[in-house]
Amino acid sequence: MHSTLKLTVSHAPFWHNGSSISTKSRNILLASLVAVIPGCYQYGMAAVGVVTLSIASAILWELLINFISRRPISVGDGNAALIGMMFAMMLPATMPWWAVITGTFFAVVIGKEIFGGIGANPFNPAVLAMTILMLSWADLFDFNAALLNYQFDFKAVYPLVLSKTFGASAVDPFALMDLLFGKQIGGIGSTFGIGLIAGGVYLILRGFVRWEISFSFLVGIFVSALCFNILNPEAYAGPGFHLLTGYTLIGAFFLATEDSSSPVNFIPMLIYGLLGGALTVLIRNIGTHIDGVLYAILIINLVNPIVDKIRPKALGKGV
Amino acid sequence: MSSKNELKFVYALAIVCLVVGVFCYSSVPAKSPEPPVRLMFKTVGGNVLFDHQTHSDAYGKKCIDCHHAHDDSRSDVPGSCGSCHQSDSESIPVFGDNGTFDHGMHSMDMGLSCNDCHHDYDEEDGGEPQLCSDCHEPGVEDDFMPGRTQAFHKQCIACHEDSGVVPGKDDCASCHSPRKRTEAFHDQCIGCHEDFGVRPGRTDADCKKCHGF
Ligand code: HEC
Ligand code: HEC
Ligand code: HEC
Ligand code: HEC
Ligand code: HEC
Ligand code: HEC
Ligand code: HEC
Ligand code: HEC
Repeated sequence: MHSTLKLTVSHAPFWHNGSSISTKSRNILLASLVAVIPGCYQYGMAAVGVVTLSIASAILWELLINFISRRPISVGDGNAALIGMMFAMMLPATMPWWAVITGTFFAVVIGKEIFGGIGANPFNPAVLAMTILMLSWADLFDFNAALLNYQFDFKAVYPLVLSKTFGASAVDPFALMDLLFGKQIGGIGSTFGIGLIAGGVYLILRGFVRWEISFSFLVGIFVSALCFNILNPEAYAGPGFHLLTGYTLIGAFFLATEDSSSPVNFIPMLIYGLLGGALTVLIRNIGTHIDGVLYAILIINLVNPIVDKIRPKALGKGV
Repeated sequence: MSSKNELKFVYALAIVCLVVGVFCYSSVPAKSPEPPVRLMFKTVGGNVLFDHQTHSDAYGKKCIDCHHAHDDSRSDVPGSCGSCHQSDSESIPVFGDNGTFDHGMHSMDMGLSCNDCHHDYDEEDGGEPQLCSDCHEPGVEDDFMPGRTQAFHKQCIACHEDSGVVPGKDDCASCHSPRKRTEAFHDQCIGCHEDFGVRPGRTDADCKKCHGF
């Protein structure tokens, strides 16, 4: 008697970038360094502490789950380290150690392992962990309060707070060029725009990230921010501002593009990205939250299985 | 890389990161710098972000302009406003019917002569001594002429200390207890902004400019 091994395979088309998961993880980690290193330069030892602790604890959580559930050790694929890095990039440099460790627990254990490990998570694990933590300890994520003790040569107020409470004219002191070069406060690896773009473009060129998602996410933000801005230029900041502040760029290149929670077909990818961008601006401009990127990504993660149903018909099948 | 090497690489990464992380966390000082760079006041009416450094550097303010109870002759750093101005404090006037200053007791019972205080007054001339504030105007002072508050502090406290009686220099509350915390902040922040003709000021539209965080 032979045992029948049943393999369930999802529908075509498949996407293969011709390399292993660990190569992919390493490349994304490498690309993220372009944004993280300037962040560490800006915030010093504190930021290095957050990033390294986050990576280490994410790996250790996954290892622990591997042991407890007696499954093969999976940390070798580098995905846990990657989750740790993504999570740390969004944090303020003053995050206390216990919050970092709790966060990576939510990301790796609740966000990924519970669903069956890599490839099975419906949500981006780092984003899920961030939103859980932000709802639990909102004060820790108030960048204005968190970064009080740092001296900068630019206006040390989180730009999105200014645009939200004081209207569009309050963000006049921020030149787009300065925002692009990270002259704004924010997450350790989320403010150095030019680095995020460079890292993202590298990943797109190497085929690790689908350009369709990043591009349509940014287009979604641009178009919806432009609409708001045209309707009421005094209340709503322009599209350039929205593209370069908050978690927009890290969201477009590193978060929304996470494999298992994003679509693989062309049209669905465009819808997914556009929807994410539009939701982001809606939440920022008329919602209660300061930044909408993370919630928008969770929502598009949620609709991902539905939009991904829009796919080419299989040949030869009637109707 | 073979999967065995991959695993080794990740283990090494975890250990290095853990060591660096613990080192960084333990080496970053927990204390905030003195004087503070920025301060966030948490209030029920919306938080206030106060740029302490810009106010003292860029706007050219002296510490004593705000830390009005601070003794510049001492080397210690100013304390918090809240140590005196508490949310339940109630300011008591020095003068007037409910005031702490007892003119009759001071001028009769202590054997003090009128000119010990009314230093400009000559009893021989007859008439009444003038009010101090006729000459020592509130807020107007220079090296030669003390302002109203300074004149009183100097005279009242100097005599008490010379006579070895209380209230002395550090005993503010026995002459006048400080006003409420919120009032103290509003009066000082907005008062100075009005003096300089800058905003945020006292109008309703400006509340959010401070309380918008
Ligand atoms: C120049 C900045 C500034 C302006 C303008 C201003 N405030 Fe304040 N306000 C403060 C500060 C500073 C505090 C003290 C915060 C604290 O107690 O730590 C405060 C405290 C308060 C509190 C007390 C809150 C609490 O938790 O006890 C209330 C209420 C308040 N302000 C209302 C207003 C209103 C209404 C206006 C507009 C008329 C206004 N403020 C304008 C700076 C300002
Ligand atoms: C424009 C007004 C202003 C000026 C000028 C100013 N301060 Fe302050 N400072 C404040 C306020 C308001 C606080 C908040 C106090 C509180 O939280 O109760 C503060 C807090 C502080 C504190 C922390 C006190 C504590 O224990 O919480 C220190 C130290 C300090 N200032 C030092 C200085 C020094 C030194 C200077 C002069 C170089 C200076 N400040 C100039 C307004 C000012
Ligand atoms: C050592 C105690 C003490 C400290 C510290 C202190 N105050 Fe006062 N303050 C007083 C007393 C006493 C008065 C006089 C009674 C009154 O008018 O409330 C006063 C008066 C005031 C007044 C009204 C008189 C004026 O000068 O315009 C303001 C405004 C004020 N304080 C603000 C502040 C602020 C802001 C701080 C912190 C930067 C501060 N105080 C720190 C004790 C203190
Ligand atoms: C301990 C100091 C002190 C002594 C001693 C003293 N005074 Fe006064 N006197 C004051 C102060 C302080 C005021 C109130 C000033 C103000 O409100 O500006 C005052 C106010 C007065 C006023 C009211 C002035 C006005 O126009 O309302 C008169 C009159 C007066 N004193 C007369 C006298 C006479 C007469 C003597 C001597 C018998 C005397 N004082 C002794 C401190 C003193
Ligand atoms: C007619 C105007 C006038 C009146 C009224 C007056 N002063 Fe003066 N005071 C002066 C002048 C002028 C000076 C500065 C010259 C000097 O030191 O005599 C001065 C100086 C002072 C000094 C500083 C003295 C020193 O040694 O540094 C104090 C303290 C003082 N006055 C307190 C008071 C008090 C308290 C009253 C009310 C009881 C009062 N003055 C009433 C005019 C006046
Ligand atoms: C020339 C000296 C002198 C001057 C000036 C003076 N005092 Fe006095 N003060 C005294 C003496 C002496 C006492 C008595 C202390 C005692 O009997 O315990 C006293 C006591 C007091 C007390 C405590 C009273 C009590 O009931 O325990 C207060 C409050 C007071 N003074 C306020 C003031 C104020 C306010 C001023 C300035 C306007 C002032 N003093 C100026 C000498 C002076
Ligand atoms: C011996 C009594 C005495 C003591 C002690 C004393 N003061 Fe005063 N203070 C006065 C008098 C008198 C005035 C003038 C009151 C007036 O203008 O009506 C005054 C005025 C002030 C004012 C101006 C209030 C205003 O409304 O403009 C401030 C601020 C102040 N004092 C702070 C302090 C602080 C802080 C301390 C403690 C370090 C202190 N005082 C200790 C007697 C005293
Ligand atoms: C001694 C004077 C002084 C005091 C006290 C003071 N300020 Fe100011 N503040 C200024 C000046 C001067 C400016 C400059 C405004 C400008 O350049 O437009 C300013 C500007 C500001 C601004 C606008 C700055 C910006 O970024 O646009 C805010 C907000 C502010 N102050 C808050 C506060 C608060 C809150 C307090 C009390 C805790 C306070 N200030 C106390 C003098 C003062």
